[in-house]
Amino acid sequence: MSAGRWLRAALGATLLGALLVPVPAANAGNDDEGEALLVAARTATSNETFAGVVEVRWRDDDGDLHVERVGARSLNGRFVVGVGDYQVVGRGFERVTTGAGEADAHWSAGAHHRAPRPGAAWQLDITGHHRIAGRRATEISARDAEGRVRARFYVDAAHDQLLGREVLDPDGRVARSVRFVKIVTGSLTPAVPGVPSDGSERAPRSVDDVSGGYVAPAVVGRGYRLLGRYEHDDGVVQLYYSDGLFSLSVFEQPGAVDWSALPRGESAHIGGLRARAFTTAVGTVVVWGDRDLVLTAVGDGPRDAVIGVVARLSGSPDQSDWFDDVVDFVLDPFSWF
Amino acid sequence: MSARRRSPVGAMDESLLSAYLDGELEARERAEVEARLAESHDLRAVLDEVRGARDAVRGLGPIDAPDTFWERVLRDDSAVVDLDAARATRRSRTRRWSALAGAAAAAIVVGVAVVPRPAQVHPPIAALTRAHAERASESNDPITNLAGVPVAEGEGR
Repeated sequence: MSAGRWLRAALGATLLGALLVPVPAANAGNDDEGEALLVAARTATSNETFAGVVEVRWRDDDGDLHVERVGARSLNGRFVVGVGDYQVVGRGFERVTTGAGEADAHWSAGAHHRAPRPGAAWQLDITGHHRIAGRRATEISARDAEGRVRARFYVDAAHDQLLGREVLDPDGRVARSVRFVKIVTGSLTPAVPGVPSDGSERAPRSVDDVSGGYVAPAVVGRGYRLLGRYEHDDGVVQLYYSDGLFSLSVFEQPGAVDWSALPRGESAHIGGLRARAFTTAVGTVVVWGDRDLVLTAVGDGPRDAVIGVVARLSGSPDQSDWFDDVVDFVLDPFSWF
Repeated sequence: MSARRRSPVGAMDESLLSAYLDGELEARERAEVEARLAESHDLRAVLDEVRGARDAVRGLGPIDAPDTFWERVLRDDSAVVDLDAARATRRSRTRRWSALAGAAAAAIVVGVAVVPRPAQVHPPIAALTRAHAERASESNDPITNLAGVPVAEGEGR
């Protein structure tokens, strides 16, 4: 073989090797750092003293954009979020909602199973820096298994406090966002009500198991793990799931769905079961009926992820039809974009 | 010919089908028979058999009665066929079948009304979204998880 042929062969082998050897993503070094930032941001609010205004934006099922603002304050481990006389006060694991009808609503689960880490089902990368409410914030993007950015988080670069988060639709458009538009920290003493001490009696009760007939799989969707089962005062069973980044609750109660009393939303059949989905300021809500149970899922993640979980909670013998229905159901709501 | 076909669901007898072919049924009875025929292949097959037998009989040529036939008929009352009584018997069978069908329908209606059905439930959406957000805020950032709660509650009022 001539020297020229050897040279060409070596060059070809080198190029082939370059194509076959996996190349780490350019921002792979940020993965752990982005996840660590998010973990720190979860507890930062409890340690900060601040007063601010939070803006909530979401699109309803008709495509109309809603923008609402609420106040948020924190002092010595207590915080309050609200508008007018409607407030949610918190301290540690306790939550008390005032102005919610005739009685205050209380929450103190107190039972926590090990949650997946934020990056268990998502690739978390630091993807930029922005100014949020006048503060320098680090942007962390969450990519799904297909490499699509489905959420962005903004963490205060100085205090690690979470300043905002956005949930994106499959095409990368913001479907729902929560972010500070004004925040003051430091030498101030914001008014934060105390948490009533008599709330535990009315708090949901953590239970080890749910009675027969209820549906409570340990894992659903793409890594949503069952972290808690609760019984409410009115007999409603709540199953709480999380994939580490987003969470989802499934509420179950005996009966048949009174469809006439629900918001119009988007109607569909999933696996032969009638369902309706609609968007609220908190997240996606899906209501359906199955085996004399009324099931309501509330999820703060991407809408299609919530729907995917719903699809796996109600059985269907024909998986192909099942997933076809799910795909239709997921895609239909986005027709208004 | 094969063994005689069993009467299909509901034991609609051949005399009724024969009456149907003869145009002797009342409008309501005729409608019931036609409805049954429309949904039952077996019943249509029986109808075809009855029609075939009827046509075969009608296709036979006239035959002369024996010389003594009419004399015997005139002497023996038992040989005289009472047509009115025969029609009454046929109608009685029809009414019996109709009564059975009516009773079955009534039983279905009573069953639907009496068997307990699950109560209609209106999921309290605002309360459920609040419960989810409160639980989620325990293991995540509380402010961004709870900010939507007062807004959703306001929307639900």
